[in-house]
Amino acid sequence: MSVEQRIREFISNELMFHQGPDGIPSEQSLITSGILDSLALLRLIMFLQEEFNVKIEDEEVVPDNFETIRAIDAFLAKKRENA
Amino acid sequence: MLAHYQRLVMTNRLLLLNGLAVIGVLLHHASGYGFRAMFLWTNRYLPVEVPNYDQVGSLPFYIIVLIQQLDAFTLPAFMFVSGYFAAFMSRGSATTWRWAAVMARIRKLLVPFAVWTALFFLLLVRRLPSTVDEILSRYYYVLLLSQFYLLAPLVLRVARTRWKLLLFILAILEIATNSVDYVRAVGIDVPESIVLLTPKWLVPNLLFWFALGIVAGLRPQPFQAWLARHQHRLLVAAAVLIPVMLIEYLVVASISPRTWLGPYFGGISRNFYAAAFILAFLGSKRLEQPGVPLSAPLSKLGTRSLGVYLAHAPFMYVAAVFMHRATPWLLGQQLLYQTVLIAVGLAGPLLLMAAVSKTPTRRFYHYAFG
Repeated sequence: MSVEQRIREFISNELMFHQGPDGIPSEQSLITSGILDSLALLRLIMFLQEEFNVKIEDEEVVPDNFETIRAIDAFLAKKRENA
Repeated sequence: MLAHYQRLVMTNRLLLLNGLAVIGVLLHHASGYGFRAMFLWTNRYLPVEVPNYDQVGSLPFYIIVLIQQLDAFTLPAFMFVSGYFAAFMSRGSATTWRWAAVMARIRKLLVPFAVWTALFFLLLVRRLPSTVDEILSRYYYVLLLSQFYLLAPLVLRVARTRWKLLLFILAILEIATNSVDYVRAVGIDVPESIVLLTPKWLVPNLLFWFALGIVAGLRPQPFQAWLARHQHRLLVAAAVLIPVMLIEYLVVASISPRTWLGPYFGGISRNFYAAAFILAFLGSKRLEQPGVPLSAPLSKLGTRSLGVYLAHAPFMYVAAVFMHRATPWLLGQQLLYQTVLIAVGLAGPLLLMAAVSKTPTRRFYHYAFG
């Protein structure tokens, strides 16, 4: 399963509860659609850190990195590249 | 020092703080039922008429008072975390406030508010609320949060340029709001119009904490550097303010014409304690070391804080009424009684949330738990 699919699955199952793994378009804004609220964002960050073994710094917690599933995927790819 | 603190991840700390605040909410409401058993349900385990205030001043009484003072950080902590998130939404290249996101958030707050309020009155208490205030006070934290999100663009704008002035003004307003109850407790008449204008579900109540979260979220690095510089002072302040809160309670109780100060008396010093506790917690170096006790379950609890906050009250109510009817001897055993209430108030919502999320009813999850 690709990183993007894994993120999508987590968001679908754990944050949205009612949509299947393919339910969220990669470019849909998670913030504007209300999927990412304060607790959902904290849960997502916790999941990304545990699942992909990365440490997300506070200055990296900006909408640009969490706006869409594709943005999260790109952010993780950049982090792993730098690591 | 800053280099060290740049490695600390604030989001993990916020989750832990949220989890701890959930425990605080449970303790707070269980202690309210503790007072009820002590004064209003006394006849269920002692041959007395009720209300009976013989236990005012007893050791269990002061233990409950202490618990209520110690958990003063709970709602401020929730508001701080929400403010931090509001700041997140406007960080990076985001230049405009996202009303669509805010309205979605408010929907996720107000629908569960309506559901749980209706459930409480219609199914549990089985009577209609007598005033609007009674409806809005039940889950007032949710209503306040909705108002804060609507005010967030204004707070953000001021927080970017004049954050010290903003926090100072809001701190004064926070204390002024608290003072209404305080002044009444010491027996001074407050005009009814002022009481009506300062309900706990209306701004500016708790807005200071939301704004503090915004200020911290807008400047994460200077904020963490500040925490690092003042960590020991904050810890000492939090520790010193615990006896100060108790002394304040005793002084007000001695002046007050009331038999006791009511189930949820809030003094002034608890605001300072809440600030010291939250900041000391977020700056604690101990959280950076491995093996922090209960960090994993607390973090998980932190992610479910809104659901537990909404659902715990009916569970706790049913447990208290059950013990009142079926096991009245438990009401006189405060430690056991409150342990049962807290266990039911925690396990009930978590099991319900798990059940809803794992069955076809999961499509209604957000309507029930936010």
